[in-house]
Amino acid sequence: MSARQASIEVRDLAVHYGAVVAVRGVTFDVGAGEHLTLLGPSGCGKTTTLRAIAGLERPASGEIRIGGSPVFSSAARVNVPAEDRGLSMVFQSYAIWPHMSVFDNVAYGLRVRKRPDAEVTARVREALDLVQLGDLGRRSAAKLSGGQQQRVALARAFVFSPSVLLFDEPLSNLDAKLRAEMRVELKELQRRLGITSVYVTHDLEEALAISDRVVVMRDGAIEQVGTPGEIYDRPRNTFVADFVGSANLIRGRRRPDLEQEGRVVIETPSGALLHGTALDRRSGAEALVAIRTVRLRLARVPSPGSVNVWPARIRQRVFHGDFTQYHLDWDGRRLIVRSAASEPMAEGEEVFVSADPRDCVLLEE
Amino acid sequence: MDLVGRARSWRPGPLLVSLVVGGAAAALVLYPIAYLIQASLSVGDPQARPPEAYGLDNFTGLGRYAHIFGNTLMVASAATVLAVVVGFALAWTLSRTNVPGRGALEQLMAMPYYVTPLMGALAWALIGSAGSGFANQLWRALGGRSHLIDINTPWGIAWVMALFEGSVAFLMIAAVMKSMDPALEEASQVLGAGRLRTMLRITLPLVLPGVLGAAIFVFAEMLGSFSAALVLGLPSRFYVVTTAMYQMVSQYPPRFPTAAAMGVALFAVMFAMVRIYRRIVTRGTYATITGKAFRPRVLDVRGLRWPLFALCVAYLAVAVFLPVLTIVYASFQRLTTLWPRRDNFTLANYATALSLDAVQSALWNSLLLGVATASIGVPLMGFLAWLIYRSRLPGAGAIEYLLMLPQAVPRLVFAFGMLWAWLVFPIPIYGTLWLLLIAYLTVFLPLGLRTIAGVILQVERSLEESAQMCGAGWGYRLRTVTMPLLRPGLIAAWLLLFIASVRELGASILLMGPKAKVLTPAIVESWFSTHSELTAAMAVLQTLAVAVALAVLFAAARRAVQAGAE
Repeated sequence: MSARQASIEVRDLAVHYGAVVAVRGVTFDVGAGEHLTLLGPSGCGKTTTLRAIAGLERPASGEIRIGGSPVFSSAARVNVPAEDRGLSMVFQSYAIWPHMSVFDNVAYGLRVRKRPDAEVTARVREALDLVQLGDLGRRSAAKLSGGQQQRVALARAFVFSPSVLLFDEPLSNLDAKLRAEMRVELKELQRRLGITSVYVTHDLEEALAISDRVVVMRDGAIEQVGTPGEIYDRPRNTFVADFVGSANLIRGRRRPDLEQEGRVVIETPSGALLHGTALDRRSGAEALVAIRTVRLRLARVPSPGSVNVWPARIRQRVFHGDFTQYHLDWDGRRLIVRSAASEPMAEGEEVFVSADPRDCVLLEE
Repeated sequence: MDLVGRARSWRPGPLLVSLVVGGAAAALVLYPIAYLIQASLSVGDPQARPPEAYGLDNFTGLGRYAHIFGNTLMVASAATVLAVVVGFALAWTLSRTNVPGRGALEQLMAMPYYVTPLMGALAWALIGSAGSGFANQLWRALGGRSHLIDINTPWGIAWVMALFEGSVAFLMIAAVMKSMDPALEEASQVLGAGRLRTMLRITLPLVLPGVLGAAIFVFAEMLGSFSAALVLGLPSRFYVVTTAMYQMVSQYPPRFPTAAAMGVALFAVMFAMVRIYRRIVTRGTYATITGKAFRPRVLDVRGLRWPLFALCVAYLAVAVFLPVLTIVYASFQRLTTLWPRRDNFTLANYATALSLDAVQSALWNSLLLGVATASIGVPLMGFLAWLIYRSRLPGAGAIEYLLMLPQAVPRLVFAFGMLWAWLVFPIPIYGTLWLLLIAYLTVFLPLGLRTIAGVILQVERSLEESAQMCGAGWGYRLRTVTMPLLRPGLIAAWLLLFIASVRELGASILLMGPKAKVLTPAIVESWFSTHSELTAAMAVLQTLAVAVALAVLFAAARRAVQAGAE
């Protein structure tokens, strides 16, 4: 299936629901063929932003361009109706029409575009094969399981080669196992189709797994934009550090006398020294550093490194299956460590905990 | 892709359409009400139009009719108490106990609505009139003196009203009982409270607002009800507000301004009632009662099972079976009497009814109007419901409020406003079926809107949006997605409007012209001017006509659905 890729530019987008401001001046770009995800807790404005791009929500102000042409601009008084924007969308509820067969559901976009019957048949077949529903075309859409409905919604969305594909939490109604499977399938499909896509989710793993870039939102504003790796390893502030996986936040006084280029060193109230990465971020005399719980290492003997090695005591151990979570007494406070190591440490054991300075990230406040 | 070419500026189109349609519908509602108020303020020559002078004399003069307002309150109160008690007992029995045949009984409880108060009043007049009522014939045959019951009294009117509003009360209260999470009661029991304590402290407080709401709604309906009071009250010169208004308008010389003032007063009271009702329903008291339907906990009533079953059957007997059998029985008799005699049976009533031009044309007119009202009403009200609940039009709330206004106006009062409004209208439609069509479309706005809104709200918005995202314009969307999904609900709405129109009395009796009669008022006229056996035959014919029309329609609809599925 040939892909028509279009870029998206969103400028100062604001959306109001009556007196409530759902999105307050959001700006970001999606490159042609790129897969961008809007990530955030419920009520952060991510779905509203997506619906504004789709044309299902009328923004209060700002500009949206698709493929360089404005589809909405408050300044130029342009508002192209959703059906004329050439986009497509997969809905959270799937929105499969129960009164049509699977085939008719998928064929809808092609028939709207008045494609000849032979072409409609061929392309619907191809699309159904792609989502592995090849033999279900004649079935009534009302008689599908959740996972099948999901696939029909997907096929219906891409069959007419839209320039942009929008996803509104498409996997949130599936059970955990199916969701993990669909995540892989979706990524595969995205890569094959190469359509520019904007994906909305509140699920971190989903966002990290399928995106080229992630936009983290809160309260209608953008908190951070970056690749999944950047978002995960270098959260910009406490919100992102907290929302994007679990992190230990450590506060201390800056020690500029010990700092080298690109490094930051803080001293905790009880005197422990923590070396971290500055990433050109600024802070005052007090600073906050985030360390992912999986980046901390436990050992019975001190590791040979010169910095970031501290003694600690294991207070509690919780077995999670894929990993074990340790709650440590460290430096007069609690530190959480997730370890996949097979040999468990015992509760009450005295251990050494260490961290690579590159994994200790200075946060903006 | 060429987006710039297609990038239109902000389209005023939908907004303009909405404003025009919303405004037109609002005018349809407000125009007659304005004329009603104008008439009530006319203090010059009562026949003069437009009024020669304005003043409040008609309202201050209403004191003379205090007894009529008293009658109305008395009948409505008595009937409300009875209807709510019956409705509550039935609702509790059928939704919370293990009474035998629950499912079937619950289905049957909607039947009184289809029997209509007029049919009930005619039947109960045959059963309970002091002289020759069936019940009193039986009483005397058993050795009783004088009469057992007299239906031509305030209590008789209240009895008949209560029988029919009882099913409305039942539906409303049962809905509340079913939407209560049984976990709320189970929590009370788990914490150690007994059954009685749970009932008094948990169940009752939770359903009370719903019961109160039902009571107020039913009371408001009773205040404006017309047919039972007309059929049963007129012979004994017992008037309520609506029948008094009718009398004032139809006598010679008519007393329009006084009637209008009465109508405005009734409108004000009913308006307040509906406000209170809405307040109760929308207030936070329902926080624990979600929109979700639960499977209610069923109480084992053991020995009471059969007595409760008997109660349900008894209600259906007096509200449905007895009236229908009585009317059918009377329609086959030369002279109505309880005791069957072979030489008294005849088909002459039907032959007469069908051979009378007046009845023929009235029957035909009624069916024609029913089809027209339903066929115009469904698209019109469907569009309005869509505008209000789906288009996010600014001011949708205000439009909804206006369109639901006829709910608070008795149909007779509304028709009075229309009478005045359309008499002065430049297009001469007064006395024609057109006026009745407009009247039906207006007074059934709330009924149609509520029915269709229920259907529209069931169809998730994203089903339409996904069609939009596939590139379908609104016309294409409407044709391929919205309409097919709404079809079953719209057919139901069509049937409801059809039935309601064919059997409408309050508005028709004032607005029909001598050359454009419709059936229900003709039945009432026949009741008062000819004999009851012929009237009974006409009532049976009306019911049959509705039934046949519905059967034809169902068959057609089923075929259409099957064709659509293939």
